[in-house]
Amino acid sequence: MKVRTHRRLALALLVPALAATAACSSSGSNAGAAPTGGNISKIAAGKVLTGTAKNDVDSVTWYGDYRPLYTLDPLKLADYPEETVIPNLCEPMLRVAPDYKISTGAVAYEQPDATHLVLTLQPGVTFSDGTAVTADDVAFSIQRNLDPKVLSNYYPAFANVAKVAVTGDRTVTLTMAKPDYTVVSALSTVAGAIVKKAFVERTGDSFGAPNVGVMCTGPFSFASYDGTSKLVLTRNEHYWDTAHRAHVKTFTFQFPADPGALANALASGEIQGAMNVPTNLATTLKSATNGKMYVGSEGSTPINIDVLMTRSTGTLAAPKVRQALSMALDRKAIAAQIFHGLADPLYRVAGPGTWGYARDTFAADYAKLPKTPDVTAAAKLVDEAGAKGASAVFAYPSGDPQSAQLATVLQQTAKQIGLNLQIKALPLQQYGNLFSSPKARAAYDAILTKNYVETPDPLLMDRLYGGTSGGTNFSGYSNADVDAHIAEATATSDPAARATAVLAAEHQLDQDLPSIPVVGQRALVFVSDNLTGAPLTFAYMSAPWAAQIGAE
Amino acid sequence: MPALVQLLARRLLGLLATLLVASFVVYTSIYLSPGSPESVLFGGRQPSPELLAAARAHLGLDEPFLVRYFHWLREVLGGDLGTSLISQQPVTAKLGHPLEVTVLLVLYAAAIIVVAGLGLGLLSALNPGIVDAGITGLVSVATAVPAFVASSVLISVFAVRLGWFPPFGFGDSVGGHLRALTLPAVSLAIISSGLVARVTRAAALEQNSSEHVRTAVSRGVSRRRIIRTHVLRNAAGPIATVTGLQVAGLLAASVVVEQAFGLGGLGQVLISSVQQKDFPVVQAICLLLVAAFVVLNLTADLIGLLIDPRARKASTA
Repeated sequence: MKVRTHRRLALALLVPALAATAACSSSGSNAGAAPTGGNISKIAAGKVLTGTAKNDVDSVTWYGDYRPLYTLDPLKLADYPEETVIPNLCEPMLRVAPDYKISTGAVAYEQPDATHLVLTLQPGVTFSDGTAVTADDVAFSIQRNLDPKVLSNYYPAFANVAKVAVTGDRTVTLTMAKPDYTVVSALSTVAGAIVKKAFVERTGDSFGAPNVGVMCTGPFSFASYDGTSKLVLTRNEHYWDTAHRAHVKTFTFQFPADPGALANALASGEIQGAMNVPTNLATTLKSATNGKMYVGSEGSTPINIDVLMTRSTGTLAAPKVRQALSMALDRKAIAAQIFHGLADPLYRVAGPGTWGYARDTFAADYAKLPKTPDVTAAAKLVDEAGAKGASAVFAYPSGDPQSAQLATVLQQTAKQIGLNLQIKALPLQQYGNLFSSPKARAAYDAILTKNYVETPDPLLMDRLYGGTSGGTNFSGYSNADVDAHIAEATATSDPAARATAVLAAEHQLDQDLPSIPVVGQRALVFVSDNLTGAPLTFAYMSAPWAAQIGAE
Repeated sequence: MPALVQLLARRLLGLLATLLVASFVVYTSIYLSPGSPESVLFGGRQPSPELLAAARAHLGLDEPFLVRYFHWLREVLGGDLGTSLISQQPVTAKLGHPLEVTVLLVLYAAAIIVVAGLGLGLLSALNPGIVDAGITGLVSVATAVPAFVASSVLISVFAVRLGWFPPFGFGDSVGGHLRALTLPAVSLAIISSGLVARVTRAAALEQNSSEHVRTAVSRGVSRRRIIRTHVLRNAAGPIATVTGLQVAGLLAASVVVEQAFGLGGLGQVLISSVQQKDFPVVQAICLLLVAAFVVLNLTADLIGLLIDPRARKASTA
């Protein structure tokens, strides 16, 4: 019964992301290109919350994801537990709605041109200790992302930001070194949380440590954290945004490491709600009598599971071999058998879950991709590449059964087309090392990855694995056309024009496959019957979602 | 008695030496195992070489192997267990709650082992026939049920189906803690209770058939008194030793149960810290476990000595 923790630590790759809708507007009006939100629960199509809470509740206990938070500092680590909890304490300065729409939050934004972004602090914004937020705090908070000493996980999203300056009593201006409309999206993740400068300077290295906490502007304030099992937030009674005040007085997070323990805790009501429920618990939770399980539709999360190339030489360095492997893969069977239908076949790394704008354009293009596996043609491609009988090594994280099954299927598929794929399970820590150490990666041709972007934009996913300097481009893949299209998309604010540039890059990436898409994950949310207001989209990763939880 | 003090002093010195050696062995093995704390801090992102170097320097990972160890040792001797590399939380604060959980769990399980093990063993030894056969059967089954199986079964019957106990978590009040720890403690205690019951039964049977007991019976001494002063007291030595070893072993075994019940005890923190190579935390937990193991064994020995003057004479001679 004991299935080891479905770990995601090193799998989660973050791109502080953007909804292009926001980038194109001058004052936060987002008409025209709103994401239609592919986050449809089985309960009702187009639903982004499980319901609307109207009444207050004294205390709620929620699942804080697969491990306790390492830190409460919003910038230190971009992974599920941190991004689930922290937005409630340290909300992004721009507001992200459950349908991913970005609007004015503690600041309003205006992008007069591709190299300037002007932020205006709204009146009455206060920290949870009741003191007023100043433009200096805003600039300081953004600047922390650029400071190498802070080690912000979101650093690459601000790579084009050359200068952050206080330009008025209430205004802060960002100057870009290169045309970039994607910084707005970075500010709508926890990287854009406003922290109190005096508090950070006073606490130094221990800012965000469990015994110190944080001082931000969210609807909840930090109460206590033992660092290992229980994190308690209390309603911020000084919350500046009275329209979005929290319904729950005491919000507690717990972190059961064992999926069985999580299922028991949910079924017995010890934990009353969970987002990102491990897919292997779906069958258990379906029969729970005290709550409901919500299953998203195709594209309800931007999480994609891929085979990422990690070497510039060897068997898998030949595009034809990669094409063959991709062509032979029976993604439908993988989604149905290994993921029990809680994932969908994915034919392009930036799949349906990432289409936050120009959805029809992306969907029409996606529909044209070949979807039926063709083992004979694939074997022929391997022959042509002169790779028949050649070997490659594939690494995956041990501990969750799905990764192991997926690796086995890959191995069998490779065998069918004449490749000898050796699969290697790595303990989590060793697997995690693959992402920070080229030396650790040297032994493998490809690895299993699970990517996500906070807000849906295919550009961010493509830039990550397909751009020459992309954060997970580990195989040294470099294509001048792809880079040019990505740069063009980054500098384009109009959604339709941006989609055209993105698709141009993707057509090349479809051929070259520096990463082979496998499946896209569906949202899986469980909520106790006495509560409502839980988010059904991935937007919770960058919004103070806990404020919406309450009684009907 | 001075001989006893001498014995204590010797054992305590041994404890210190054990701790020192253990700390070095643990340190070396963490150092040699793959992975690094800074890779945890970077999550799935590839840091630039300068950033990586800055992070390593910041965490003190750029110092040579032995320098780092002695640095740590000096701080510990000064009473400072250090700060977690990953969360920047003082180690003592980080271990507070898990320690409470594990200590309560182990004490609870130890109580069950002593009561159930001793009780069943004596009952079985003193009531030959159907009671003995029944208990022996039960004990044989108990010694074959590992904690992870026991916890699954207990959760599904007593927590999920009957709802008598919570299946998860540590509870809030003292009463809540006890209720929450009942199933974990039982899961943890089953095997050891069986073993202790077996040893108790064997020791009691041996004493029961010994000459001094038979003499006492023939002299008409009351049954109660025979059991207390002749059987139990003479059987106490081996029972105390086995019980002590079993209870000390619980410290290590509790991790499985903590995981199943989501208790967040020392074992779970140890596992995650090992994975993160969070050296100060791993060291502190290992030292705690080693110390607890040695102290528990010493306690068992002392109990044996106090009960049995013969052993006292032998060990202090």
